[in-house]
Amino acid sequence: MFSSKRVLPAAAFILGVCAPKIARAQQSVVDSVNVESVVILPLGLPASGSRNVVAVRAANASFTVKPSEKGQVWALLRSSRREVSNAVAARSLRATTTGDTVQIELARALTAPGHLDLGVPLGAALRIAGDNGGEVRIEGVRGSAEVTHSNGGVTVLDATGHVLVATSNGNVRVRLVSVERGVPMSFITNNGDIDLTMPADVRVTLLIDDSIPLESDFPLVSSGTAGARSRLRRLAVNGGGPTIRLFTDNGKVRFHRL
Amino acid sequence: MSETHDEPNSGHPDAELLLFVADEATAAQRTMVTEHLAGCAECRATLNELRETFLALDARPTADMSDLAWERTLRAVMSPRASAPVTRSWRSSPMFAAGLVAAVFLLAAVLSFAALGVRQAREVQRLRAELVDARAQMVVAMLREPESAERLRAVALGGPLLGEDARVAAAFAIVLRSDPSPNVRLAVLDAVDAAPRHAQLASEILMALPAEPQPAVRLAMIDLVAELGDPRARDALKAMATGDPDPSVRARARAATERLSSRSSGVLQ
Repeated sequence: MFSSKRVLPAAAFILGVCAPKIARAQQSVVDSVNVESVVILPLGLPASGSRNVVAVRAANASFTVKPSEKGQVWALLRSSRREVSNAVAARSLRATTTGDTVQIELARALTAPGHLDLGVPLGAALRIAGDNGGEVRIEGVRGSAEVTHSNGGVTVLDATGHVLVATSNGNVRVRLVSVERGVPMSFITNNGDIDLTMPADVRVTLLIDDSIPLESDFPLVSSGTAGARSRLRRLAVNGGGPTIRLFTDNGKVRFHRL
Repeated sequence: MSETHDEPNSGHPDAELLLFVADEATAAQRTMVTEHLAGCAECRATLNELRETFLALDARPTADMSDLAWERTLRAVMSPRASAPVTRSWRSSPMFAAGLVAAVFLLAAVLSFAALGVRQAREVQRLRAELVDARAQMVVAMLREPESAERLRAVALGGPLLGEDARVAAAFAIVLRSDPSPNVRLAVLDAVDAAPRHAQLASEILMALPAEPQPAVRLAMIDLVAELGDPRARDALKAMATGDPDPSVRARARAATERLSSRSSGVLQ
């Protein structure tokens, strides 16, 4: 048996060489990778000038997403199981390219918790749909992000544009370095804290139930309730703007200035 | 923004505010609006809504709006209070026109109808109905966008139309049942919460509740159906109070059932 750590760089290199053929295909299924519990998927960039969207769907897996050095899209699935047959590992991930969107998903359900490492072009718009499996962590991609998850925390650092997060049983931590004007955002968790960091000049209106503890670096100006019946408050930041909906049933919200 | 039409609101420079946002105000009007905004939270909120609307609509010019006589609309709505500045050919920018149509619609809700003659007031009402129609079409189209952020925008734009346009209510019902984003589904619940009581959507929430996968959205649904006070909700809430997989949802459903029971017993007494 091989050690994943030792074999991974070699496998990445070999598949990197083969990448152009895969990139040209509009639809591709990962070919056999003779490595224990590791699947690597290098894909070429969508046409230059268009926006890159990377959509990933995987249940029972945690995620780490970082910018790729060469602007490629790649995915690497690690299984927590000690032994995975080559036949199973070979077709664990499926990738489809349509227009400016690369879609990556599990070809079959994971029987043990996995971890998905993703490399995406800087500025790519991410859409991640998870279910159980642990934390989703996106760092330094500098694009917009939408994460729908359950039973796991979500961390999005140094995004730009807009971010949407919905999870249960986990903390939400988001740092936006610049905010797209006029686009509403929304952060939902059932059990967990919400920690937001945004630029000092951001103009938004927080929409939050008055029972949720809220700490803010920004001065907040109440503009009354949003609902006719509920206790949803509207709190303007720097004069107000598009709404940021904040929902946690069992946690608090912190709103930091970048 | 309030949707009441019958109360004159003559203390606010509505027309000048629109021109200010549209960058069409004269220097004197800009000064006047700036001074007014410093002391009027309501107009600051209106200003923000107008800006949001402009941004949202600027991103989505729609061809079917081009046949709206929006210059006539503007004149009809604005003439008692702002006649001189509306002289440029605003039609030159279709995107701007789309934004303006929505802005006029927004302002139609707060303008002082008392300042208009009977004929003009009738004309404003007719044009307003046209604008509602155009906006509803746009909301329905935006709710089909693949980007959740676009659908959130659609909910924000469509919320004020609940109760006025059946297409928007129907589209919101579909979102509640099948939109893949919990964030968008929660936004619809917020819109229903902010709107006048809507029987169809109240029923839709009740039907969608047991199948809602996200516990946080189920909690919001429970709160809302309890607030709406629909007696049919009691059975559904009772079932959730014992059968929901999430303990916080079960607890909230129990509390909501008790609230509904005490409310109905209060009514009986």
